[in-house]
Order: sequence, then C-alpha cells, then structure tokens
Amino acid sequence: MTSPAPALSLRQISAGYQGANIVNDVTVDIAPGEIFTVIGPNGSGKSTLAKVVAGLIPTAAGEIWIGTSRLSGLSAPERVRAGLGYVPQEFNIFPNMTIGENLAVAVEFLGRSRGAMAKRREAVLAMFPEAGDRLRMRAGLLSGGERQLLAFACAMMSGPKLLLLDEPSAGLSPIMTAKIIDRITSINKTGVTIFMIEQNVTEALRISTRVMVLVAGAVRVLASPTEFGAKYDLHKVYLS
Amino acid sequence: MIAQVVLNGFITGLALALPALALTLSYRILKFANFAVGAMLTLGAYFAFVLNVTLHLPLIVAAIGAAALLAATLIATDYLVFARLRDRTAITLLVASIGISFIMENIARLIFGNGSQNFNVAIMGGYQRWNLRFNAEQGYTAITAFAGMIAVYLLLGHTRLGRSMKAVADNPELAAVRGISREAVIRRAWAVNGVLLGAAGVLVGLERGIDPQLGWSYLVSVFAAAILGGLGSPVGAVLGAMTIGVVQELSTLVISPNYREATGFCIIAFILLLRPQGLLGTVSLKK
Repeated sequence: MTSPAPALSLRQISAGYQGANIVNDVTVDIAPGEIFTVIGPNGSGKSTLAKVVAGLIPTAAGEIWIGTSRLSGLSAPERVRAGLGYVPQEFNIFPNMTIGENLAVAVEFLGRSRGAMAKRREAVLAMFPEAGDRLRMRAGLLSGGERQLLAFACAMMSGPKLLLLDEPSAGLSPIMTAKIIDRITSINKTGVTIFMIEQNVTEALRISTRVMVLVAGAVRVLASPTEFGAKYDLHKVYLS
Repeated sequence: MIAQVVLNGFITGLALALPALALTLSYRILKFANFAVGAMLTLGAYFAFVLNVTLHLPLIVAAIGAAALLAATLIATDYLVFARLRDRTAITLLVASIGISFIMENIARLIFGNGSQNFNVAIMGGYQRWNLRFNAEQGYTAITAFAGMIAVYLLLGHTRLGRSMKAVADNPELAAVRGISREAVIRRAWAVNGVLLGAAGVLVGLERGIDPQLGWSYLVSVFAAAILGGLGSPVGAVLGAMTIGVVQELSTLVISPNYREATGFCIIAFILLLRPQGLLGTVSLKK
C-alpha cells in the first residue's frame, strides 16, 4: 500500500532577492495533517521561505509540490486554487474594506458557484464567530489580534488543504497568542495541514508534529518536539 | 447672469467629471498620475469622428464604438509600455505616460492634421427655462456624465470587479494570495478608463470640435479636479470636477476668459499647500 503524497514537498529550494540567495537547498516533505513549524533566528530566511511557497518570490532552484500538484511555475493566485492558503505576517487584511468584503474577495475569484461560496462563508463564520457580528465594520479599525483572526478566516475561505502561516503570534499579547494557537489547532483538527513560521519557540514545540530549524537559510534540524528537546540545545543550534 | 454662469460651470464640471474619474481610478490602482489622460481623451474623440464621419454611423453608435476601441487601445498600451514598468517608481510611470501622451497626440496629428474637425450631427437647438439658457449638447453632457458617475459608483461599490479593484489598490500582494490576478484587474481598469475617456472625448468634441490638442487643453483642469477631490477618491473626483467647472466659469466675471485655465493651477497649488489629500481623500490605513 503506497503512502499518501506529502501535503507539501519542498525539493532543494533556493531563493532570495536580487541574485543573493537567502534560502539555500531546503528539502522537506510535510505529511497530510501535520502541524509543521519552522523556527530560527532573525534573518534566517523563514519569511522568505514562506513567500516562496506562497508564490510571491520566485525560486532560484528547486521544486514545490502540494499533494500531487506541482506549484513551481504557478502564480500566487493559481496556488490558491491548487489548495494553498496563506496568512502573511503583516499587511494581511485589506484595511480600507469591510470585514464582509475581506471575506468575499477571498473566495470570489476562485471559480466557485454562488452556492459553494455561500456554504464556504457559513462554514468559516462558524469557525470565526467574531467576524459574523461585524461584517460591515471597516477592517482597519480592528485590533491586532482581531485582524489576525480575520486574516485566518480569509485564508480559510478558499478551503485550503494546506495553510501557510507566517509568524501568526507576532506582536500579540499572551492571551491573544493563546487564542490564535488554539484556533490553529482547531483548524488542524478539521484536516488542514499547517505549515507555520514562528518566533515563539515554546508554543511551536508545544503544538507541532515536527519542527525545522532554519539558520542562515539552511536546514539545521528536522525533528519532533520530543526529539528536539532531548537532543538539541536551541542556543547552540541558532548560533551554528 | 450669475445663475447662468453657475449653470455653465456645472455643465463644464460634468464634462470634466468623466476624465477626472478615469485619472483617479488609474491613480488608485496603478499608483501613478497618468499624464496621458488628455491624449487618451483626444484619441477617443478621433475614434468617434472616424466612426461618425467616415463610416456614417449615428453619433451615439460612434460613441459606443469609440469607447470600445479606446478601451482596447489602452489595454494594448498597458501591455506594451506600463506592464514592463509595473514595479518601477511613480515618477518613472509618470514620465512614461508623458511619452505616451506625445505619441498619441502626434499620431492623431499625422493622420488628421492640425485643423479642427466636427462630428456630423444635426444642429442642435437651445432651450430657455427660468431665465437660464442651455442647449442640447449640454443636456447630452449632463446625461452621459451622470450615467458614467452612477455606473462607476455601482461598479466600485457593488460588484466583484469593484471589490477586486479595491483589493489590488490596497495591497496587490495580498490580493494575489487571495486568488486575485493583479494583471487581470489592471486590464479591466484600463478598459473602464477607456469607456470613460471615450465618452468624455465625444462630449468635449461635440462642444469644442476635435483637434490634436483637445485633451491637452483639458489636462490641467482634469488634474485640478482629481487633486481637489482627493486623488484616489471617485466621489472626490466628481465633486472636484464640479467645483473646478463652477470656479472657472465664475472667474470669467473678474478675469479675461483667456486666463480661466489658470484657476486650475491656482487650485492645485492651494490644495497641495493646505490639504494635500484633497477634500475627500483620506490618509489611507496602511497596516
């Protein structure tokens, strides 16, 4: 019996800006249903890796697959249609549009029928009831944590198989961080694979199936949280 | 007499509203001030001229055809020029639009010469009500401008296309990861611009006759209208256009009509000094 295709497969990914590679030769397979977290010091290439997977930065080398669909060469909108949902670290909502409009645009351009879009909206509002009461409110008036939740809701509107999160708890209070982490695990329980970039190592190790440590654009460690805690000293890995 | 001047100014403002809307829409989505808006309006007038005079189509049909032809021309211009400079600075795109303006104007000059042309329409009569005189051209200007403004309002506020334009205007990268193709939205924005400028070209050509400098003579007023209203604000563009129109006409009571265009420059300077975002422009939330 053959094992299912990885939810996300990165094969020798190198990428960067203006000819200089920030990410070098990253190879990893993420199984369906995993919560897979990338941690690393500032400037290690974590967000660059997220943008490469999202299709916002081209690869200098390597291939990306989501399930059995090859993402390499696809534009960012095409990757959304292929099953990728992305929550950027910042500027992740349209502040001059209402909450309702933010949710609407996240599904209107994916070639779905009106009925399918309405069903998807209901499903997402059930996951994110905070949004339902304030659909006419301008999104720019939300607090940081509320914007993050709205950004999650928008990414979920497309019904992604894989949700890519770039530092979802960045700049949030401990209470809001706990709420966000709780929402991530709830989304994961519905079958969505999570590929997360995080600075908050404690939370990352607590909820993840596996963690990958990226230092200077290269993979230093790939292990389960238990293995990581047993074998590695985080400071030594970060400084390696 | 003041009432007549105000009415004339109101109609002038309505004629400015469509190109001001086009300018503000392209600024909002493409993030640069399109200096070629006047030349594009001129091209629209010439398209209608060819359809009306050379091919003997009724003016209303010629206007629709001109709008469609200009929309296609602007999409092609974007593909050939602006798309290749897409992520350059606003100044680079502005300079490119200046080049486009000269090219369009001189193509028109090469084909049609420098002389003024007129549409082939029956002479339209005037009307008088409540001591106010107005003519049929002014009536068509008012109807067309109102129809254009309502259409743009509905498009931006109540359609998928309008939402996609707002999304791309706010954050093109985020729009992309929400499944919105920036290039597709930009093409549609140019198409809307083409319709607005094609209609404006016909209205202005009806009033003044058509020559290669037609749009150039409106350029300062169009920019003044858009800046006064707030670059990027469609409602502001309309209000700005009405204000400019009325102020320009009222200015002829105290200064020579030859200097009425100067009021546009004065308003631009005044607004940029006191309220750079314009009457209805907002300091947009970036985060």
